[in-house]
Amino acid sequence: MRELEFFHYHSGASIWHRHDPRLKLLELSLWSIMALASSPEVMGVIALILIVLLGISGTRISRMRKPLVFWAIMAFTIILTAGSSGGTGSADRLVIGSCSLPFNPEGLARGALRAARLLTVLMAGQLLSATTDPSDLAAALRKILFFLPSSWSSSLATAISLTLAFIPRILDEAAIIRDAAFSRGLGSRRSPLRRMVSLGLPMAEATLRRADLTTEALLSRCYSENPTLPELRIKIRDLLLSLGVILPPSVLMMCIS
Amino acid sequence: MTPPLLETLSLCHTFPDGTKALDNVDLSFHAGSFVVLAGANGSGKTVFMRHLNGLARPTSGEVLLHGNSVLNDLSRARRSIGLVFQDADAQIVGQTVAKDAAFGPENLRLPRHEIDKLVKEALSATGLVGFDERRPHTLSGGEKRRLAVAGVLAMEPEMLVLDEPFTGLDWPGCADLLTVLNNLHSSGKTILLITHDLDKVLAHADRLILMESGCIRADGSPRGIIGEVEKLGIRRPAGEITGMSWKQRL
Repeated sequence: MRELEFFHYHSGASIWHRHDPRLKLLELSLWSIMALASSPEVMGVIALILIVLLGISGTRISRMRKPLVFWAIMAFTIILTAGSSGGTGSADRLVIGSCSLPFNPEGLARGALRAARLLTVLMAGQLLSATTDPSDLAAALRKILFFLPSSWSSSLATAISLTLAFIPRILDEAAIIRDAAFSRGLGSRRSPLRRMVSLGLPMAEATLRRADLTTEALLSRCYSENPTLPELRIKIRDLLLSLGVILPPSVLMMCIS
Repeated sequence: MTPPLLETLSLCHTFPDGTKALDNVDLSFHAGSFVVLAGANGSGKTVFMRHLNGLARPTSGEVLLHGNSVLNDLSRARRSIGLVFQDADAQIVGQTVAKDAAFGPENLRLPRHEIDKLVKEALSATGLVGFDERRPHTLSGGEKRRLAVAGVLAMEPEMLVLDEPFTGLDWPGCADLLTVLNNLHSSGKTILLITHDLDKVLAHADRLILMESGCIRADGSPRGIIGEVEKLGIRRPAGEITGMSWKQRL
């Protein structure tokens, strides 16, 4: 089975692995709001905290290579779009040879900041998913969403935890089919559309077949949307850790505003 | 004679295209027995297994657990008849070995201390002590198969049904699994092993059932009906039945 490196749980015993998942969810929400809405300095502090916590929880940068490439493409698009909009005068054009492209330095900086904010939110998501077992996450969601009808909150929590648990399997199935198809000469087909169809249909079939097998296995084990939940207990250590990671950016945000 | 733990009465299953997967299957299984159900591919073994805890609905006939239809109380049937599927990966849902073994008891809404006790016992019975925090997908094929057994054992079933448990396993993997099954049988568990590969298990079974085209063709002691197997497309193991244990060979 292939191991997903990003947005996937990796068991461990670090302080962040043992941190209460309800507080982790709360912290993720606060970090995301602050990173998206506050000043670059606050975002920088949050990013620094996240880098430290990712290091403590054992998430190596090499594990994030693929999502970082994806982010880099996204960042390039965001910066390019922001950098090429807003300029009106002749001074706001970048001349390369005979080409003249719109160029707005302010927009470029704005785009870079947006890309950095996106990276911070992605890192926060990675920290939560890499250090929280989906079943603990489901239990935390159920507790946090206590105000919803229990059938809604349990369905939502189950859907999230099952999705997180099964994504690697679906990707694994897809990788086997892709390898088999390429070993039978799919790579020599020129049309990307035909390649997509040749891969897409068997992948969809395999995913459904896998889902069917898994459903039977779940039913055999008396699957219920309301199982015994993992025991969640907020300890003093959890509260202190929460304060330690939320207080610095909050104080800085208040000072700046 | 004690009433059977599980019995099927005139069990029939017909697919929507009209193919008969099971045709009037009458079988009974008594507590504490070790039964091998063998048949060539497509003989209806896996469809039969799916009926035993109500995963499939019969076209006609019924499956009785202690005299009551399994369809009347699916939760009890699924707790009592533990199915171990051929594809262990499809059965593993937990993020760690211990959490996967706990999945069944958690669904039964047992108290946490009881779940912990059952998980510990199941991992111990399957030789997975010390694997608690391992990622299931980093286990070897044999270990995964034993984890699938542990996940079912943690629900304290009365009967274990295993579908082709040795497929894809190397010799040590087969021998370890066979040791686990023998120990479970010795401790009183009823075992139904579905396979077309007889030489690993026949020495341990006290009954052999041969299936073909959805029908039971022979049912008796392994020694008594071993001569029938080749007619039904199953390879007859070489040598004496008593010598056919991979466990003994190791």
